[in-house]
Amino acid sequence: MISRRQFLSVSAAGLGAVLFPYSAKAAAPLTGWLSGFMDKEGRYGVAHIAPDLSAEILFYTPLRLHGIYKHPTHPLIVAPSRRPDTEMFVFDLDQQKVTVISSAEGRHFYGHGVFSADGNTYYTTENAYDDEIGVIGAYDVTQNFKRVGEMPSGGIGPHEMKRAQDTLVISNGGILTHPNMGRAKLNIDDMQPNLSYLDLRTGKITKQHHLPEKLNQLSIRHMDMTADGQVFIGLQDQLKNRRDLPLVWKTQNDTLTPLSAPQEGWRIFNGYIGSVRATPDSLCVASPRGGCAYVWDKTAPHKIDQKDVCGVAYARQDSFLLTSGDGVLRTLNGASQTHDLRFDNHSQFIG
Amino acid sequence: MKRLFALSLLLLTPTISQAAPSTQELSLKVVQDFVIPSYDVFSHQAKIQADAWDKTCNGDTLKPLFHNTSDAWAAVQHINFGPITLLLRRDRLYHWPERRNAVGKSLNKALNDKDNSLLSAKKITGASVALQGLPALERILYTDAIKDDYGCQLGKAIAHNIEEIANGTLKDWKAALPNIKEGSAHPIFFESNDEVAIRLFTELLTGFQMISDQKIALPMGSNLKKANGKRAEGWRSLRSTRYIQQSAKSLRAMALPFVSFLPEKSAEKTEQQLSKFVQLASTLPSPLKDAVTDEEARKKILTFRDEISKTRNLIVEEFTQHLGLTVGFNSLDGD
Repeated sequence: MISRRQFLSVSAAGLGAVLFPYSAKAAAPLTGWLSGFMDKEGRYGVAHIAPDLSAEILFYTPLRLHGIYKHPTHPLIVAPSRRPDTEMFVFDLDQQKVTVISSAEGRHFYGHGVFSADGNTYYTTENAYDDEIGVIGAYDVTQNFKRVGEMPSGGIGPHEMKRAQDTLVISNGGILTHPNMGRAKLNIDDMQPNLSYLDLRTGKITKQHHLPEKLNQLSIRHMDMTADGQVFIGLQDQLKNRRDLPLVWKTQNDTLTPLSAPQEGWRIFNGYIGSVRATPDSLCVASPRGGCAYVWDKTAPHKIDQKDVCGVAYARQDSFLLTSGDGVLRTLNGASQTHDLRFDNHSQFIG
Repeated sequence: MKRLFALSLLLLTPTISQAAPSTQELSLKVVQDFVIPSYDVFSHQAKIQADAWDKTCNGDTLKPLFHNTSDAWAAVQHINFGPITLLLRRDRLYHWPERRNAVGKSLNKALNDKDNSLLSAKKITGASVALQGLPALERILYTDAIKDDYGCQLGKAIAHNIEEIANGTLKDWKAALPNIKEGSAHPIFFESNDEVAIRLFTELLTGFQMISDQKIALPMGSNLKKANGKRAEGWRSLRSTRYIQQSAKSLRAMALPFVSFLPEKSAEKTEQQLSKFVQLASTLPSPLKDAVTDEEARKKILTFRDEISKTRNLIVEEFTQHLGLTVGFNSLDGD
């Protein structure tokens, strides 16, 4: 179904707050990572982090960003705004043009998305707030991100999702919000998070995993999936005290199973996992409220203390990059740099 | 809605100009001077209210007690840390902003069904959060429901439920006090005094944001055409403006224990700004539900909103500079 769509394409000059410091290097393909940021003046945007952990600002945006995604083959970056904002930014690195896509009527973005295998379609998690259901919006990349349809997400409050061939695996956080009510959470008492599998060929939900009912106040929010289809999820406790409940789970034999508890107990995460990244051999999660990251690997699971850390991204040599709100970038291999930027929730590896 | 506060004044690395107080000193002072006394008043007012419901169904007698309890609630409304996070206490006390008339719907259903089992303390505790707290009680008091025998009985059950939650929260804070004094971890609420100090500071900042983003922005809308007075907090009992004023007073009261550790000049400047903030709140138009659709009144409200962010920014600046406190970026506001 296509609702009224607003499609707004503007030049950089026309949008006022969106500026382009990025210029001479436009032709060179980017390597390293992308991250949202806030600078000292309170401006938001997209930063590029190079393999040597130097960082440069690519774009400024009028809104705080969340997940940032690079097109698999083209010099395009997409950033859907976080809830309850209605703008999706598409940055064309070659043409130095920004396009702002507005959400469909009655929908807002949640801040995450994925490209289809051929790169022709971009999917985002969205809130159909008057119907109180989560949807997946589909955008045609070849037609300037025209919204071409939507499918159910399988729950309320879809957040991060991953794709394996023609299936989207979606974290439905379970939390109902309505833009008229700002960021207020409206159903904490009866929320029901789930992990849903959506078949893109049929638009139907084919499978769902739930947490045990007594753990329903743990919102399923961030996730990753390995090449063999195993899914790891990171949870956020909506009862904000240091309950010793498992916050990281994996799919196994078609059910959800918690990972082995950290030696220090689940309390170290202070009820909040902000990012999850998995490689075939290891898993890394970050908890800004716990001030730490945690790695489960082949050798010994261990905690890494890092204040305000939230972003976790793949890094070469089977490592991870951690990014923090204090401007710290560090890899698990020991490299680190500190910048005068607050790195926002997520960072993405781009090659 | 746009984030109303550009966090532009946050310093990445605060420079501490003189010896900052320990987080143990800070936590203890804020908990002893503000947190526990405020929950004490709330618990006390809730008890007076519940006792009155035992004796009468007269709205004229009960309404002032509802206002006193609501004032006391407003003093701690912005705190979402510690005992209030247990057992869904906060949602049960105050389901606001509400989901699509959830309070009205669950209340109407209860009034229609006249389910007597709901009147027991055990049952009401397990009912929908929308039915359990102050918003439901407001509807009973400010509609004909109070004149209905079952409606009054339900009001009584809710009033006792509120009392029990308030009292439980107070007791749990008192029980956690030795941990703060000793600097030891609490089994449920916190790991250390570092955490207590930072969380109380964060909740203080959240309080300013709550006034701006919810109490004001929700009824105001982005422009006059989008204003909707019925999105204002407590509009039925005409206490939306009073809620804002109470919140403002309470934020000042919570900030002052922190301020007492500031160097003289900084303390003076911060106290002045807090007083100006409370004073300006006292001049806000009322009832808010009508004021939001009036051009002139809107200007006044927006002037006050600017003062909220000025006050908050000054607090961030002074507290991070002198008290060794930091404001997280990701830890403060994530998705």
